Amino acid sequence: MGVSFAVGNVLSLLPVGVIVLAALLLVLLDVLWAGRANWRLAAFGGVAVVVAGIAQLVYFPRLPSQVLGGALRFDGFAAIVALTVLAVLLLTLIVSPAHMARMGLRGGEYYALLFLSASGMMLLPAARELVSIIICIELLSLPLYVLAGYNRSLAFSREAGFKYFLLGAFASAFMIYGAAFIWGTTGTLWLGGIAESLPSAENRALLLLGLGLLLVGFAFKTALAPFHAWVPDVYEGSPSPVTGFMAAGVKVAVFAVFLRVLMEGLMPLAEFWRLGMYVLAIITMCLGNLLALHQMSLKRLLAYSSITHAGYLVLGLIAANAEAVSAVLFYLIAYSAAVVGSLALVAAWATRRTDDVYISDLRGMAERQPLAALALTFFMLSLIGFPITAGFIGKVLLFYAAYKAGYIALLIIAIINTMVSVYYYLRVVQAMYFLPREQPEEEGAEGAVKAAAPVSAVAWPYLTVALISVITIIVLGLVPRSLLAWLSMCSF
Amino acid sequence: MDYIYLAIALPLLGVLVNGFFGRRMPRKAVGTIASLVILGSFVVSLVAFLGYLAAEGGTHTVTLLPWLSLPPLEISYGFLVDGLSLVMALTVSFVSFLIHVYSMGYMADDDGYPRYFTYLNLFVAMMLTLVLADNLVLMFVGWEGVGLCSYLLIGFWYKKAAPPVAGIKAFIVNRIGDFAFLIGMFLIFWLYGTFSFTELRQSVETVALAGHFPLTLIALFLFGGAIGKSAQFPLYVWLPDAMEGPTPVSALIHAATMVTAGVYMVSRMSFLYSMTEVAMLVVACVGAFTAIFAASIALVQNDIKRVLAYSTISQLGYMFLAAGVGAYWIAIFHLFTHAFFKALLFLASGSVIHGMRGEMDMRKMGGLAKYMPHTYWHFLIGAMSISGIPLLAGFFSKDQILFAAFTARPDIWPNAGMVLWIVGVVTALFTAFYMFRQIYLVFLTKPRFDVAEIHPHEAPASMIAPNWVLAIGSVVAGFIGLPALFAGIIHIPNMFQPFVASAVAGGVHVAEAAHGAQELFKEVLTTSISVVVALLGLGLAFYLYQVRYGTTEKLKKAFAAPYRVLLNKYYVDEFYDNTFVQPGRVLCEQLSRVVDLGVIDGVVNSIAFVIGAVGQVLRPIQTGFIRNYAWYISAGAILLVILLWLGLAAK
Repeated sequence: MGVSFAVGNVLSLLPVGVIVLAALLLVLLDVLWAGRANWRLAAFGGVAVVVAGIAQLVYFPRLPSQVLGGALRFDGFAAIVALTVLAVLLLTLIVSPAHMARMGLRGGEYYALLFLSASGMMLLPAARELVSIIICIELLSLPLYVLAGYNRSLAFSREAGFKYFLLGAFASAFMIYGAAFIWGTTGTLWLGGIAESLPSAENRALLLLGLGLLLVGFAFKTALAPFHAWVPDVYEGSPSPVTGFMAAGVKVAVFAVFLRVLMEGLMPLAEFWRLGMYVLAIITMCLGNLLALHQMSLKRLLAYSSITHAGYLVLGLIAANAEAVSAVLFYLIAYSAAVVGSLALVAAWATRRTDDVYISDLRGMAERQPLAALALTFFMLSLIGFPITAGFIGKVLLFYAAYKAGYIALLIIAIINTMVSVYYYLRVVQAMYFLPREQPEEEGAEGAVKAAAPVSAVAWPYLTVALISVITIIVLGLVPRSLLAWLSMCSF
Repeated sequence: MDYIYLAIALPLLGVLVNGFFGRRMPRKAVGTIASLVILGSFVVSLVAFLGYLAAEGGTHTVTLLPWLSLPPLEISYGFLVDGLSLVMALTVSFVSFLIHVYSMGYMADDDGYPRYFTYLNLFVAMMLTLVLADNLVLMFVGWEGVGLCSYLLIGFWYKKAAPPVAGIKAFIVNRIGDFAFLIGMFLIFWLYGTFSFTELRQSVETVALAGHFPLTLIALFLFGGAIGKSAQFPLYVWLPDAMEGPTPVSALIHAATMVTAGVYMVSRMSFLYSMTEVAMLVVACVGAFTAIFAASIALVQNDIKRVLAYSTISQLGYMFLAAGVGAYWIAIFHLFTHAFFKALLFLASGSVIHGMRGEMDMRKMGGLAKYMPHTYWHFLIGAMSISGIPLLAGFFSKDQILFAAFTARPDIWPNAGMVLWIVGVVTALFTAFYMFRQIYLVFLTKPRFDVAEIHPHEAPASMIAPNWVLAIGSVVAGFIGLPALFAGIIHIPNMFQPFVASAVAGGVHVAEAAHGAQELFKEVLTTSISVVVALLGLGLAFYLYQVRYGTTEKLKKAFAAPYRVLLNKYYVDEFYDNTFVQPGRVLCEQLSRVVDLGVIDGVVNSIAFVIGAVGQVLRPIQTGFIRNYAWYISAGAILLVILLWLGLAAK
């Protein structure tokens, strides 16, 4: 394949262009509005996201269009991922100002960083060669390192940013080494080119080394065990809206590109990576679940749950068939709705001291805030994969893809894990509905502090996000066809 | 008939109205709406029933909307209308309606009134989804839904310690069964490529598989789900604990919804079970064993509701026994009559508890017949019905189960029928004894509480009225499915059998058509034995608790060891706790300590450092944990590369 850097169809860059422009303007506006303009910045950002979303819908690429000599190729798949990222970004923007105000943080670069990260997420699924992919991953990661440590007054948050940065850099190194080895053995970094030149590769061993290192990079970003260790600490320490943005956005974008790399570039090597991914899937599902069982912090629980869900999603990667593409996308969208909604509520209930909610804080929540408690129950049910929620349909589709590909043993392990996961998700529901509010005199000194921590009424931004998520979950659960019809357009 | 889905939609509407606006509406309105929507479900089912009769039977599928399309598989919101689903829908909605009405009185002073009725409506909606679904996936939705609602309702009184634990226990034990059920569903899809009951029935009956082994496997896995949901041995442990919920909820779970799901499922899949004798025998034996096992526990329990809980488990065992010998319609018939008398017994016990200010220990009751005459009659009628006193509903259905067992001759174990029958008869003896023991302890013996202090009183009218309806049902419900012997005498034909039998597989082992002279003789024989046994149990209770009151204490001392085993329910809960629960807990705790607590502690410690200087924070992180994480990543990378090379080497 000849490399020519013709610009190509610029219009397909419009949505991401709007987001990048908005990021730059946000920096400028922050200066103009003198820092105390959380709400105005968020509103401006919201408008930009809506414009980008409309642009993405108007120029929905029914036929793939190439940009930069084919380094970016926009198709339906990339468009769906971009739309999901935009939706997640919009929801994050709705909860951010209120949360920032409560945590005593200024806006400023926060919003710009969110937008920059989102632009990386939107470009990632369109990338067609390894250098572009690595650049996009860095583009989405670097702002997140800063965002994770954004709440500088909290030790947790500083620690999260620092850990994420160091380990992320470490993992990137693996990835770049992997790409280098692949380039060295095949002479190309284009996904299509790798697939073509593989059979003639002389040194398979080196190629496999490259493949392995590349997989490490992806496994780190998607939080597959044993590359998951950063997840709980980072999720716990980051400001709650950032955690939601990260959990949903990064997962959607990186899993999408992971699927594309495996199915387009590395399919001829499938017999090799399938074994590795198979083992990773099992370790990830089981470890994530077991560690989630005894978590006290809701954010850590969701972190381990996110690890487990990554394990389920690997089933789709391994299956790598036509069903898997739409299944993985559907699952990611369903997961995003649940996790963004949950973290909006975490943000609403979080105390300024920790920016986290403990399960014991949720006691008696059903009485005090019935609507929010009901919403969180729906999120938990969807994460379980309970029927009539989007999570159920996602699991059915995903497991069906694995079944079609013949991975029965893996499927059974996944189902067992689903059963186990019920326990810890229901602990959250149990605390809200079945446990009375803690009585200070019974719990001793520590309990007194906790019970005294005020749980303010859920403000409308949080509730709005939660309700949007609940509606998404129920609609996708009851009428999955509405989305599946779209997803069927984006096979590649 | 085309609008059968309204039977599900109406309770869901009730859920929405009460769920969102219940707190702002007057209590009366909440309860009335909740009851009316269930009445609406019953009317819808009734209209469908009449339409079904007018259409002269058959199997009708009503497809509302497509749901999921995974070519070649299509799953839709489809509902099946046939004899079986109609009987279930009518029973469920009717009994549930009465329980709703009763609840309006029973829960009148409870804080969570709207919440309670929201859950209750959702419960009924899910149960109706389960029984009306025309495919396994939609059935599974209902299957999981009733599980969730039972969890919510059992744990309803969350301010006490025990209910939430019981709720969790119910849910987790059910998940074990559900796992088996899922595998069964999965195998069905693997072999037949469809989830629709009608298509599946055609495939199973026409396409011959290589051997019956896969069928047996499917049947056994599905039965695993039924064991969990219908509380059979060894997964029955959640049901007695489910007593922690409000009493009407117990009535709902035990009588009309939830636990009958397993029996319904086996009957619905009867075309499959009938193909495999092994699975049938397993179903029959598990049922029979559970029946006698639970009945023996019920003999010595002191909690008024606990006796009834074990009696439910035992009666469900009877139903599986019937299904296992191929008498599916009798299983459903017993389910039908049981719904009346078990709901009656529970609601009556609720009235007792209500009148005794929450007392549930029968040792602290006695002589209540004087204070609550209506309740006494309700309880007495229910007890007589369940004990099989002739001409009451329970007598006819139980008698036919025993007769079906008696005549069963499975090829693989020809004498099984006789063994099952003996077990059934002994269970009947136990049943009569523990029911009348209860009558004596609660209503007839001398009061063992301070009358002046407690002032036992009769329940309000809203609680008595539904019980009288149920009491009448417990007496006459049996007459629509009379055994051949009585049908000949009383000249009421058996209407129930042809109605349900069209929907279930033909009874292989039951002599249905020709009742020759010999058959008739056998039936007279078994029926008389049942009657004698029931009266024997009654008489024994009379002797021990009325004539020679106090003898039981001597018996307890004489048979101390077996008594303790029974009282402690064969120590099964303790066994499970030691074998599964504790090791699992220890494992998880250790795992989280090793992998996780180190990190949490590290973070907590680091907060202490922060107060000093930032550098102090980074130091423990850097030297302690990031290195560890990086080490994980490196080790993982090595593992991954080795795995890839293994692939190469294997090639």
